[in-house]
Amino acid sequence: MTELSSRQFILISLYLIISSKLMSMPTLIFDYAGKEAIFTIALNFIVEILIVFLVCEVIKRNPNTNLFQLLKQKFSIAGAYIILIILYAFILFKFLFVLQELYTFFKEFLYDDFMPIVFALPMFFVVGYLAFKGARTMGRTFEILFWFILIGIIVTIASNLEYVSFSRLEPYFENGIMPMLDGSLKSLFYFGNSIPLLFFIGKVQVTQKFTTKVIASTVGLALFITAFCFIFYDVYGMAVPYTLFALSDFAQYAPFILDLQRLNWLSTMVDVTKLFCSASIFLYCLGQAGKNMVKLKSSFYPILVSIIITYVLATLLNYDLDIMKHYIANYLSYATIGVMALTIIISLVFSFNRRKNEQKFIQ
Amino acid sequence: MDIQKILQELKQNFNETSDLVTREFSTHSGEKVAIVFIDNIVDQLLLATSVIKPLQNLNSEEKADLADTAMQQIIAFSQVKEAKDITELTENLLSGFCGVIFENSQKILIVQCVKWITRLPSEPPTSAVEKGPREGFVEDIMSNLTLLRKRLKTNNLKIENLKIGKETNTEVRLIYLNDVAEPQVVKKVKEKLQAIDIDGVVDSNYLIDYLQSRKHCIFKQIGSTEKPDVVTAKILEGRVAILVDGSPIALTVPYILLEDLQASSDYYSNAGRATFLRFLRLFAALIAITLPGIYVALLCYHIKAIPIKLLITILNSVQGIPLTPLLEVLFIIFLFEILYEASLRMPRYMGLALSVVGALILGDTAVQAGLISSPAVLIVAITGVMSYTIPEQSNQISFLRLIFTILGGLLGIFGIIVGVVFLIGYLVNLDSYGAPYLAPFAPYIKADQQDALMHKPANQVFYRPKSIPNINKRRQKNDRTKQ
Repeated sequence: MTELSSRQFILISLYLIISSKLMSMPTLIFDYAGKEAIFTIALNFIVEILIVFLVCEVIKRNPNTNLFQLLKQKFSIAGAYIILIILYAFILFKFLFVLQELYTFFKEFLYDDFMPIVFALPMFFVVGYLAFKGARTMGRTFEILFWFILIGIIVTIASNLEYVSFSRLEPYFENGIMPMLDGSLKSLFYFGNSIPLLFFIGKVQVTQKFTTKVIASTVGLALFITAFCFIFYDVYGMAVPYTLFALSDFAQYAPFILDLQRLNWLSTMVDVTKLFCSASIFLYCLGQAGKNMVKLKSSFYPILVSIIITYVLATLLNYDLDIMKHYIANYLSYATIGVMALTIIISLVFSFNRRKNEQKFIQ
Repeated sequence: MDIQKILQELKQNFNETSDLVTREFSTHSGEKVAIVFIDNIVDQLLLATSVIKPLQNLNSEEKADLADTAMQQIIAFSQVKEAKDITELTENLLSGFCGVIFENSQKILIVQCVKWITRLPSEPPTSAVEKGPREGFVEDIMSNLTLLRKRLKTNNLKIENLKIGKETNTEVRLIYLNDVAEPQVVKKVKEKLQAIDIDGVVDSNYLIDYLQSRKHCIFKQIGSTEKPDVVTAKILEGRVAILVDGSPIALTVPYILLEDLQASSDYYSNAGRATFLRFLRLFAALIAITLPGIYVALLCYHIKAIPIKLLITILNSVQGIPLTPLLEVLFIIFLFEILYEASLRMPRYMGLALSVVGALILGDTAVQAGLISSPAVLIVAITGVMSYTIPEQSNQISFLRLIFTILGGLLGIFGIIVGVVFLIGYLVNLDSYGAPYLAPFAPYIKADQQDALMHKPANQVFYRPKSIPNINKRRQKNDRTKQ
């Protein structure tokens, strides 16, 4: 039975895509790609949009079958388990990263002293609740929060627009294209957010021009994020490496906001809310993966286990975002290439097979 | 028929109650007749002039059955019927009927000459309007049905009778438009009502617990109103209304949260103004819920986030206050709730004095004594007033205000965000007879946005809301489709 409308699915994909991209990503990419960071972002978005397109096609062609059923059909039970384990591990790191980002955000911007457990318990409770209640609850919740987030981001960006010069970063490609490619490779983890969309196969009510609508909104968001990063780099120039979370820093030090005093609270709320949303989607996917792997009726225990694993990992990493960013640049982004390739392959298999079946049916 | 035997049996059925009145007399031709009724619920003057006196004057020389003659020619009441047995007679006596027993006939007649004490429809104190109908429901179900029938002059209006309560035998009416309401919803409501096995139903609010799907939920899941125009509008949208005898409050299902954001006056005023007022109500409700929590969070954890001029003002006020910001705000909220509760229960003439004492003397003295600060009083007072922009949700808003204050005090702004996300996640899960609680916002229903926060003029609303299950979507002909 479908749980999500096309609109809700689009929102879920947008929340996933935007997740960390207005926070720690712009700074990390700038560290590796320098002034060409903007091109790195555009390049990586092409890969992300391709994955969104393929997943949409799979969803469209398999309206009543979920991911696990499709995997079992095409890759045998053993293959299905292996793929699910890979996806589970990848999404677990995504969830862990969002958790680290959120905690660091609170610690840096909002609290003088913030105990991890005080953060983790309420956070896991709410995110766990949304994930446990399922795709329908998440979809509807995101519909309500969407306008708040959109308005928040637009106000924040608009407040800095008058300080954009469009020339501060020129000339581009002084050192060739290698910095851009290096940045692209090392930041790919941020662009694997569309992979969890696989877990929504068979749960979306597909309407007319489904893929077109999803792709159009994804491209729109990609352009928006790219434009934001461009403005951010242009306003901050060579001071970008000293920033931590793009949107919040952007809002905090904008002269316009300083005049009004503390309008940056809006961006703070927006940042936190969208991270809550993406965290709940990741946890939902972990719950679905766990549920299918262990053959449970409810996703409660897989979600609980995922929370415990994430909490232990975060504690081992001491909630240190810098360590996490180091792992992203040196290991996780390379792993993302593999997971992306895997997603593309399975999406093509699911799409191609269905098309063949449809042709047979017509004959 | 043995009159004495029947009367004896009736007295036993009523446990020798003192208000069961029996009167025996003879017709002009000497045939014995007995009248039985319950005192105070029967119009005795009408009974004497339209039943007793004509029967006493009856000079029956024909061989025809006296009961038949009385029913067809003598008794001048619109509702006269024959009781099949003593049980039926007993039930009808309880509903204000009068029993007529004839010695020489096997039939017992029951005559409706009920006279309940009731008040005239007046403007409900809970839903006063600036413009629009001022009639409100009363405690008498028949008067309430009249008010609805007056507005819905259609043969599609279906009224189903139910009796609930073993001891109270309360009359309940299920009202809906046969060609609009979703049959599944009607069936479900009816089944739930029929399954009720309670000793008594004193007010329609008794039924709410049986009708709502989530038993321990603080949020309203059943619509309620005292205004017939509101019930009429809801029935027209495909909802089912429930009227209970003895209660001026009509219940309606399915219910969505948006209903309380809309006021009946929105439909009697300019559409632009109505839209503005709806946004205002929503804004006020959100502020009422979160402002005390945000204030406490800012003072406890994020004092740097407060603009400097405001910070200086607040710090000057809170200096020397013995309570923490959380305890201080909680103390004022409790004080406010106590004053509210006391002013509701106090005799009306004392209520004004109490509010003056509460608002002016207590608040002012507490601030001057340095027990509480004036910004905290101001915030609780503002949010208290704001919570009544949606009066039907004021209880829920008060409760949430308390929760958000505690969250803000314990976790700071993180707590407020956690609370907001959880609250939305919880509310989107609620469902009332197939209508999503936060519809048409979540799930987003584009067609229903014409009368959600935005309010389009009536001549532009062509369809019934999709959020509410119904079987007839069209409200009026769309001019554009005609062209």
